[in-house]
Amino acid sequence: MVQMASVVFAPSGHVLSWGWFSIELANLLIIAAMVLLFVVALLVPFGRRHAGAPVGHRPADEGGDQS
Amino acid sequence: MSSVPRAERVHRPPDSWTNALRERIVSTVPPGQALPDRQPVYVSSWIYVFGVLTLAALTVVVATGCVLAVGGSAWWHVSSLGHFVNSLHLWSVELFFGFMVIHLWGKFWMAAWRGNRVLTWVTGAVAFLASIGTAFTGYLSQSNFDSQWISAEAKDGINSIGVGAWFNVLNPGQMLLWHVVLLPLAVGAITVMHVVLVRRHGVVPPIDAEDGE
Repeated sequence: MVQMASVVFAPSGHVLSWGWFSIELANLLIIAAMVLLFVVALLVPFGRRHAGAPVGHRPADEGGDQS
Repeated sequence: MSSVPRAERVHRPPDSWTNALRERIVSTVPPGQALPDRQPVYVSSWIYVFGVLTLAALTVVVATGCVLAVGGSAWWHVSSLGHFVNSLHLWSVELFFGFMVIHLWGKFWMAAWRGNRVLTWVTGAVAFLASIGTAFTGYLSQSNFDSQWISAEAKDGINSIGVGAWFNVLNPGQMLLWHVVLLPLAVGAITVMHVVLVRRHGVVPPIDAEDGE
C-alpha cells in the first residue's frame, strides 16, 4: 500500500520554461548528451588510418538504377 | 540412349520463376559487397559507427522482447528477473533511438541521398517512423498507471486523425499485439531493406570526397 501511494504521488520531474517553451530537465540533458556525442563523433580520430586502401567496385552506382 | 548432351537436356527456360528469383537475389548486392572486409578511407570516422550501433541495439531490443513475451505482460511486475529483462528492453530502446537519431543527423548533414541512394534514405526515414510507433505501443503495454495516462492522453489525437476505430489506444490487448507482432515485423522488414540498399550502393561519402575514394 505504501509502495502504491509512492507511485501515485511520485513528484513530477523538474520542468524548465522559457515563455511558451517548456521541457523536462531529464529530456533536455539527454538531448544535450546526444548533441555532444554527435560533435565528439565528428572530431575524435577513429583508430588507425589505412591511406590508399583499395576499395571494392560497385557496379550498381554506375547505372541509374535506384532500386 | 539419347544423343543429346546432358547440359542441353537439363536446360531451364529463361522465363522460369526460379531462374528469375535466383538472378534477382544474385544481382541484389554487387559481388563481394554483402559482407565486405574493406571500406573506403572516409569510413574511418566515428560518425559511420552509429548505423551499426543502431542495429546492435535493435538486436538487444528484439531479444529481450522475445524473453518478455515468454514471461507474459505482467511478468515484470511480479519477478525481479522479469523486471531486469524489462529494464534491459527499456534501456536498449533508449540507446536504439539515441544511436538512430545521431545516425540520422550524420546522414542528413552528409546529404546521404546522393549517388542513387534515395531509397536508402527513404527506407531509413520510414524505419524511424515505424520505430516511433513501435515504441509508442510499447509504452501503452506497460500495464501500469503510466500506460493508462499515456493512452488517455493519446486517444484524442488518434481519434482526430480518424483511425481510432482501427487503432484503439484504450485497448491494451490490441496495443500489445501491435507492439509484439505487426510493428516489429514492419520495422524488421524495412531494416533489412535499408541494410541491403546500403550494401548495394555502399556507404555515402562525405560531401568533399568522391564515391569510393
